[in-house]
Amino acid sequence: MQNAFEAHMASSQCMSVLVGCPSSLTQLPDGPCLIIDAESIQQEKLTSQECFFAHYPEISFDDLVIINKTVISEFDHQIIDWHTFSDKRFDGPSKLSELSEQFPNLRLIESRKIEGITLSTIFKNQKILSDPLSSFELILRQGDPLIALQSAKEWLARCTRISLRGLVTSSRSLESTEAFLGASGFCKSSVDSYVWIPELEMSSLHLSLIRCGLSALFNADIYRELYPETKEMKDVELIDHWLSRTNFREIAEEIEKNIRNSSDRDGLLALFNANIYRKLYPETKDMAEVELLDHWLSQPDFRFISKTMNDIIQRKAIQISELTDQDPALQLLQHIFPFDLYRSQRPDLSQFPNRELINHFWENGQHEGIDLSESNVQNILDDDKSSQVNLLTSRVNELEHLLSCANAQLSCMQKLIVGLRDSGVINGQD
Amino acid sequence: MDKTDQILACRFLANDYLCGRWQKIFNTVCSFKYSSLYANCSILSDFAQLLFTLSPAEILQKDWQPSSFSQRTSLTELHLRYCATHLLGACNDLACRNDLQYCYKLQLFCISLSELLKTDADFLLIGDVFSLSESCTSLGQSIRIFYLAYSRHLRESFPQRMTVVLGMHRSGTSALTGLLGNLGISGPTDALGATENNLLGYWESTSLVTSSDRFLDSQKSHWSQLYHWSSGWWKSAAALDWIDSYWDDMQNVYNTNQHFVLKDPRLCILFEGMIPCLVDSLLQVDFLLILRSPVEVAISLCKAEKISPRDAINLWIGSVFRAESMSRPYTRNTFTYHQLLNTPQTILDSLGLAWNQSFNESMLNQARSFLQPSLYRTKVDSVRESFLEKHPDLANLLALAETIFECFQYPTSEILQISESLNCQWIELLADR
Repeated sequence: MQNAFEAHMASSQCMSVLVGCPSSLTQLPDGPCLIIDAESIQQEKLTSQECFFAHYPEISFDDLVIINKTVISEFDHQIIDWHTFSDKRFDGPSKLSELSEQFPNLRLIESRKIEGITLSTIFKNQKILSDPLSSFELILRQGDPLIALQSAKEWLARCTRISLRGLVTSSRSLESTEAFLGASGFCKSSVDSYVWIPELEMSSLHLSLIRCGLSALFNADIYRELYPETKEMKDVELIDHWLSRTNFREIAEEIEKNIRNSSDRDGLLALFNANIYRKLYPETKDMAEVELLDHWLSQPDFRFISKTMNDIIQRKAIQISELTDQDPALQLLQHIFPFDLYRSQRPDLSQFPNRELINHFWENGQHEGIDLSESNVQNILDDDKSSQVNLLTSRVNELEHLLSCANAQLSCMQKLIVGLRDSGVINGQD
Repeated sequence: MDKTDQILACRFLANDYLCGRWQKIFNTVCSFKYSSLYANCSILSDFAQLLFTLSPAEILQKDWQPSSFSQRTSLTELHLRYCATHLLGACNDLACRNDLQYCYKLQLFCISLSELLKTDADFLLIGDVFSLSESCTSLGQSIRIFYLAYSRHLRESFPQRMTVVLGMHRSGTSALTGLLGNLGISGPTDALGATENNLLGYWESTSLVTSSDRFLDSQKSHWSQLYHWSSGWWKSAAALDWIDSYWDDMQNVYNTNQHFVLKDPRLCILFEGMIPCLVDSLLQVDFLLILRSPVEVAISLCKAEKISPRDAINLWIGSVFRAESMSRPYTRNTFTYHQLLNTPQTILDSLGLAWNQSFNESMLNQARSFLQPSLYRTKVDSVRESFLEKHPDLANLLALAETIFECFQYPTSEILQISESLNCQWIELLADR
């Protein structure tokens, strides 16, 4: 039973796009044709050729589109120096000097300026190609083939066949063109060396599979969020909607970004270092962390930014006050820091807990000239012992002095009492 | 002096003893010894001698011998030694930190001394001074303060020679101290630097000023309010702690093996707490008092600090009174700000004479060039009228301050009576306010 995909595919059309009008209409392929030519070609004249309808009895005017006085350029509205030669096959932007070595008899007839357009822009305006499953065949007969192919951009994905027949160009230009085609997934046909076809044969089965794969990967919900006007559409229609857009690659990236955002936003927030990001982008200093995350992910080089942030984090020294109690560095410090000594050096900190003492030393003490090196600690302890000894010695001296005063006083008192008793002033019972 | 006057003087002297003014007692003894003026004052003379004999600095001498009072049968060696034993026992307990025993032994001393005095007809009306409970408290604190100095002296960590500059804020205390500094007298190692309010520098120790301010804070006071402090403020435990720490700080920031100069306007009142420490046997001390016209001080102080003109004048009066009274028993010189800036040579001559020291010419030149008369900007002649126009309610207070200024510039032998009279007038003004 034919499913919706297959039915849709069966109805899709293929258009032939010719850059450079052939001299004979018999050279036109079957089906709808789009002709782009540097010269002025009147459709009526073309279709009035006696053989035209004999050859294409079922074709209508609607199937033939001719774009006159137009050449293909790298970007729209580019002014191209167009050269007309004695052999029309050479007409194009190439200068005579580029061709004359290989084709010495070639003569330049005329040079003029023509406003160019990209194939991508032309395709965008073709009704037939608005169907995302439609395809086209590209026949390059005029101008620079490499520029024409490059200007097609993503549309090349829909190209089923590229013909370079009838095009004469310099061997260097041809080499570049072939290299580009190879890199774009095309290969030279085994039966016709002027024809290039996609390496992956687009059979209906393949397309069906690709479509199924796409459907499985496509996140319709996020797409509907991105394009609210599609919220009533079915999933299959959404894929068409997406693929019909020339910027479908960018949209895919946007969907990917949204998937990433929604699935692990909290996790990202936990890992995201907002302070460093604000330093990297001062204009974001007033943004909330969630906003920062969006700002970061909206940047095309968000991966590189992430790497930069990581580098900064790794380079940034962790302050002592930021160490957690579980940090081995802090545990080591707690073991070796001379807390009592530091308190003795700074009596004003005597009530500080150990952890705050470490912070204080790191932030202030060391800059105030307090030396807690092992040798200095040893010196201080030695000095302290010595001063303790001095203190105790002077204390002993003080008490000894008082004792001797008291003894002297007692001795005098005793002598006095004995003297008074002996002289009879007082008796023994007084 | 008739007998009544002598007995009154004895009671004053007894109060001096209780308040630790040992030096004043010593001076009184000396004045009797070397002057024929008091030939017929045996009651006062003997009493002064008795108190001197029983002063802690004397008692704590190993070879202490009581004075001989051959005319007084009641003051026998045995009785004197009996009293002294209690005092010595109290000092022993103080040294051993047996505070309770210290208090009891001091009470025994006071009782025994009171009893001893009552046995002599001449001293009958004096003995009661020692039997009052507050007398014992006062003496207890005086001896504690003395012992702070004495124990330091024993371990050689007490200054040997010190000059104390006393004067109201903005009176030129910094300039005078700076002058001494330029004469080679040692200053603090942590001196406050110059500011826009004091271009010559303060010459005060930062840590000592901080210590004083913390103490004032702890007493919920401020230096500008010190004139409200009663004369017995130093009898509290907090004051004892502060005095103890102040000597420690002084030891840290001054080279106490050298002659050094201590200066802080707060000391006009706060140095009262140090008086029991200031005995010749422990420390050679002299005072330099500097006076400046009260209106000049008030204007200058109100400009430099946020205090009211009334507080400024009252503080001037309080500081001058207390500094004069406190320093009376000691070697002292009184100078004026005007004199300091305009005739510094007279000050240098006085100092040379007081210290029995000659300064070399380069030092004198250095000292003279330190002073800048151009800094004398607020002058009484130009500001007095406008000050009174602005503060007419302070006219009486200012007039009193100016009288004090006039009397104290050149103190005479009648300074005690003058001071008492002026002090009474001041209290009346404070009471009327």
